[in-house]
Amino acid sequence: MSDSLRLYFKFIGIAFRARLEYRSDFLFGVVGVIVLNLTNLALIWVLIARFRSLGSWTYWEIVMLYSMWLLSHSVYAVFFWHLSRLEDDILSGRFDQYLIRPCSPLMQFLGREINYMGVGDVVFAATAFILAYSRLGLRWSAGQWLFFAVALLAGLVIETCIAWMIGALSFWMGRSRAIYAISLRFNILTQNYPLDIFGQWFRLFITGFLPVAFMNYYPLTALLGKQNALGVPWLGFLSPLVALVLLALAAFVWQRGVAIYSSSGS
Amino acid sequence: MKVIYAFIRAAFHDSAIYRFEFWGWVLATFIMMYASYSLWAILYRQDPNAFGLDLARMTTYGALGMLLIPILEAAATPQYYIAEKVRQGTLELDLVKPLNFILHMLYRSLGEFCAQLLLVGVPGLAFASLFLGFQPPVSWQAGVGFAASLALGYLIFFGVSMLMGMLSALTLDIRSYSWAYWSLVSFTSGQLVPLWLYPPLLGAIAAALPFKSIFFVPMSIYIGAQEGSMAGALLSQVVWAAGVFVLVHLAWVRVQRRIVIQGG
Amino acid sequence: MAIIQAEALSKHFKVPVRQAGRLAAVRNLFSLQYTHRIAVEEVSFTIERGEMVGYVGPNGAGKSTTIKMLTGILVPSAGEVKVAGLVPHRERKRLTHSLGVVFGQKTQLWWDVPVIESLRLLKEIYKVPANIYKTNLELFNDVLDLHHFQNTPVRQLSLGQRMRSDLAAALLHSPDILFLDEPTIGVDVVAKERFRTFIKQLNQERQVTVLLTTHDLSDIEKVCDRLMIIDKGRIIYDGPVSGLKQRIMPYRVLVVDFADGVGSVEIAQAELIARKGQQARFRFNRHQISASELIVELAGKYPIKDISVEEPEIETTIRDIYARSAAGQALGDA
Repeated sequence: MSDSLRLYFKFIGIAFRARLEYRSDFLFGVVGVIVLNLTNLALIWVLIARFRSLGSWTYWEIVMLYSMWLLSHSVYAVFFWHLSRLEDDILSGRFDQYLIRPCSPLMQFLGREINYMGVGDVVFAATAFILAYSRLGLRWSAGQWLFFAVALLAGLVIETCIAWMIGALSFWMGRSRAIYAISLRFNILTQNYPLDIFGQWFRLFITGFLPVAFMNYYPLTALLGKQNALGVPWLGFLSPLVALVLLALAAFVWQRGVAIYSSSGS
Repeated sequence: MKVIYAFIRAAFHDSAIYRFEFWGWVLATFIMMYASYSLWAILYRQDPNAFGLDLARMTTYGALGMLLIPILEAAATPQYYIAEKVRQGTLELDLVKPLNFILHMLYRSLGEFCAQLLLVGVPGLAFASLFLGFQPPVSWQAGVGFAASLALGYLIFFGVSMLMGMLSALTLDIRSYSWAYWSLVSFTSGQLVPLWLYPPLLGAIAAALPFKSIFFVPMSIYIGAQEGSMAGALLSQVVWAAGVFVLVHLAWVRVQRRIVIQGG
Repeated sequence: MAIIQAEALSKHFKVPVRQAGRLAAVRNLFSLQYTHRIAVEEVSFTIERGEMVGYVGPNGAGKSTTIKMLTGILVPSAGEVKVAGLVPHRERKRLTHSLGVVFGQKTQLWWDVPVIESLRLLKEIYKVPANIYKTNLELFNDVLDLHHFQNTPVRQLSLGQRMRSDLAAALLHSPDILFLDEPTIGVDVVAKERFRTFIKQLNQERQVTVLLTTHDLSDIEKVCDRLMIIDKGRIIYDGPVSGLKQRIMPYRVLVVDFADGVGSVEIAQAELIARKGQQARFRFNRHQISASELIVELAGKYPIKDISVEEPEIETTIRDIYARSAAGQALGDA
């Protein structure tokens, strides 16, 4: 295991070097990402300017919701974004290359790309978060900060595992892009809006089936002392558990997927 | 006419090949329409007078905005088509084909428009009417006006998309900032939030860009909440369309020259 | 024990069927039908260590599928296979150390970085000891001229250089077995020649077993001792390359330059296949008449300036085999 990890870092080193060859893209990518996030928050600001709050959530609370999601997402975007294109490697037969070598195909795949776009996200998210924190006049204890860090990590794991599983689905069904597109929609909605504004079925779906709400909403309700949309207080602390469950599930699906790849070819 | 029919057939066939993707887009549209509906419902409850109109028309506006995305996206076809050809370095091949390139793009885009209208628009409309209280146009005049306005908006979007495509042919690779572009479009077009709710500065910025004519104008006509008279709104679209097409023509001449001299 | 053993190897696939017709486009939106496709059927062969085997067949015949089963990437539907004493799909990772693979169309190297970086990375992956790494690099520099382009990113290499780099990558860990899947496609003649020399040298010095699939039949002729032909999932020929010509194609071509003034030429035991000016080409069956006998016959009838005998090219031979296989004829003596 540690050997595969060591190789993974070597792969990433190469991927990073490869990226450096395309320097001009960097600026555009980062600027583009900042513009994207600015417009998202601007839109919410337009709404809040009129309505003063969304449910019980004030503007800066929503900014915090948004940036918390973005902090986890940005790390995902830097290291694991190509999971959404796993289907390309599977369908093109490039996956065969990985199987010919004495190294975990997963590590080889994960190691083949690194994306700088997430860097813009991190910068934006950190800035927005710090702004929101001060505007809300918050004073978190060490324990709360620790919980926050754990929640961020859990959020990263949740988003990565969902993308991983959806990518692995293409072992069975060819292109799984469509499912990814749907999951992305839910992700974006969770990023921008608190669960409170949606109907009961939607809330249950985002909590129990596609648990992206654990990336930001639930931990934040615990941290801000708000009541969450399902009225179940301990949900606020559940994200690490959800992350672990998803990790186990995703690893299982991946293993089965690789096995199926060998029996059905492409 | 036969040419258009051929493109429509092709677009349907494409959708069929990627049938999972097709159903995925339909489902994604349902989700976004529902989200929009939820958002307006809760905001309305908080402050019923802020909209200036009743909830039903507001949620209809919201759902319409989400429904129009996959449908109007067909107008953006040239953008992706050109960018892809440029990436492959085969754009000059298109110039050699007998069909006028811009017409070719238009036919292709219309084909996809019809396919999307039927395959995504109809289910979406059904879903919204059944579950989200989607309203028909406020009057038959509004209905007709909406259709005309949508056509104009489509043409404007098509023209802008041609310009974006040509931009990628000349200089920049648009793929790395297409998300930023789209979020700008939806923000300044009133697609998500009606422009009359915008603070004055942002409203002015939106008015200076063509995107408002693509989404906001037809959508507002539909619910009978357009700025000023319907005729005036349609006229503004015509002006924009004309302006965009002049730009497209000018740019296209330059691009053709550039490609022929330098190679794609 | 043989280093590669396949017995009654088979592979079937379930393939979706695209329906044609007017409403098919809409119907396809709702359901898809499947059909059975047999890629490889009852394939058996044994390859000893050090053999150089060519594996030839029309596109879609089952070559890649066989190779995938030998490397463990694909699990057979039926039959048994053993490579280097291991069952490939069960001990895939262990087997990777004994295998080197070159896919002609796709490179296994990292695209945007210099070749040498890819090799360094592979050294880590395969855990190649430093001395072996050094020795192999020297070999590659010697025979493949690797040091001329090792610092160039792969995407900037010519096809010939890329092929050589892929060879180096495949052989870096000194595998016992080398699978080459259309390695010389699109490569220029000089590079091809170098490739052949290198493979033969490798085989001689290190007893590397080579399985070469290719459409370039001169590769087979110059490199391989043995040839397997697969068509529609079945092996229709497995034997020496030289034997192939003798067994299957008994024909040879006699090229005769007649003296001036010779008009139409006729000979019973041979078929005139071409006539250009005073040069004529005759095709004869060497089982029915020998070259010398034919020459005597011709010289007896017509004045001759020059004569040469040509072996049929392996291309013609293979094409004949495909054709017979398609016509359902048994292979054997003509």
